[in-house]
Amino acid sequence: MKMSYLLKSKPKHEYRAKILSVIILFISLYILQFLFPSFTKNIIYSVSRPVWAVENKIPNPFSKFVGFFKSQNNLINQNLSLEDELSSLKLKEIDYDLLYKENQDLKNELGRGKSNNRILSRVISGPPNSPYDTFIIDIGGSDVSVGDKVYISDNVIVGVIQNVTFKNSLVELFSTGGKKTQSILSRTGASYILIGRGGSNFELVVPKDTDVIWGDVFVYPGLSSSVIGIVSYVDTTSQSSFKTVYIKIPGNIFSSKNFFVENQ
Amino acid sequence: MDKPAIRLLIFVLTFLLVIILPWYLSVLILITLTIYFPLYLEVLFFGFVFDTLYSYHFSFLHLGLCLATFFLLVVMFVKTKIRI
Repeated sequence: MKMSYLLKSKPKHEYRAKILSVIILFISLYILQFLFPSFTKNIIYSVSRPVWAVENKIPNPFSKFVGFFKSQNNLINQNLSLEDELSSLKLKEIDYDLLYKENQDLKNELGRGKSNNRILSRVISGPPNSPYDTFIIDIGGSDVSVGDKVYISDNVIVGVIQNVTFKNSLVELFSTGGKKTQSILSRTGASYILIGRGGSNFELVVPKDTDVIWGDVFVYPGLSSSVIGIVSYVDTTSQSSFKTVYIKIPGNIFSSKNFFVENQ
Repeated sequence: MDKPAIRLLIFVLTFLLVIILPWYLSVLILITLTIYFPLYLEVLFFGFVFDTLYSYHFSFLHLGLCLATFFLLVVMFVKTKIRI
């Protein structure tokens, strides 16, 4: 009599072994990150730093790609409008220098002169490499500390230092999604709390009759009055009794190569 | 070139790309590799790298690692059902 045997089924524990390996690795990495956050940051930053250094030295091959498809006429018109804008900005710069000097002289007379304790730092990584609104800069150690303010120019503040390692620091922008930042509307002096929406944008919801208009400047509380953002759009609807004010950090922060860190 | 060597080479290359490329491209590459390889545990390491490099939320510092683990488990489960 011919016997037929059932085929041996695939051992079921193979799938369980895979799940177990995933869970073990997850727990190991979680514990490593939880118990030794600075150590892991230092290791990963040390490995990444040479890669970033090479990346920053190589010019972006796609930077001229979009311009290649623009028509000559568009480029000529764009060039002319940029020249006009440049001329008016140069005049404004002269006015600014005069007013700045007058402001500094007044502060010095009142004994509140600006202390020049800012350190120049280079941005080595940031959005869009980072999925968050964070930048990595090339100073760390004893030069800076957590909580130091970060600027992209003399009067535009963008964030604070959140983490410091031996040679690098992590900068968190005020515009990080969900982050609340106290600010003052420079025109009226009223205080508001801006909510970060990511990508150098803020949001502010206020009653409809609140005196906030397009172009208003929000400053960081303090004597130095550093600019946090400028109103770029005000969204009002007839049904709602509130309006949403959208504020943006001036300039293009994501193409900025240098930040200034002010020691506290 | 044998399979472990290829996998190691891909690991090194992916690590470089994760550091250099925008995050959405890195995620796309990791998703592709997770689907292609039978048990791509390296994706957990890359989630860990994302958290270590860029994350700062002390309320939940491990978002990248958790998402990578969840995605890997989902892919493993789906693969048993559709025989990739």
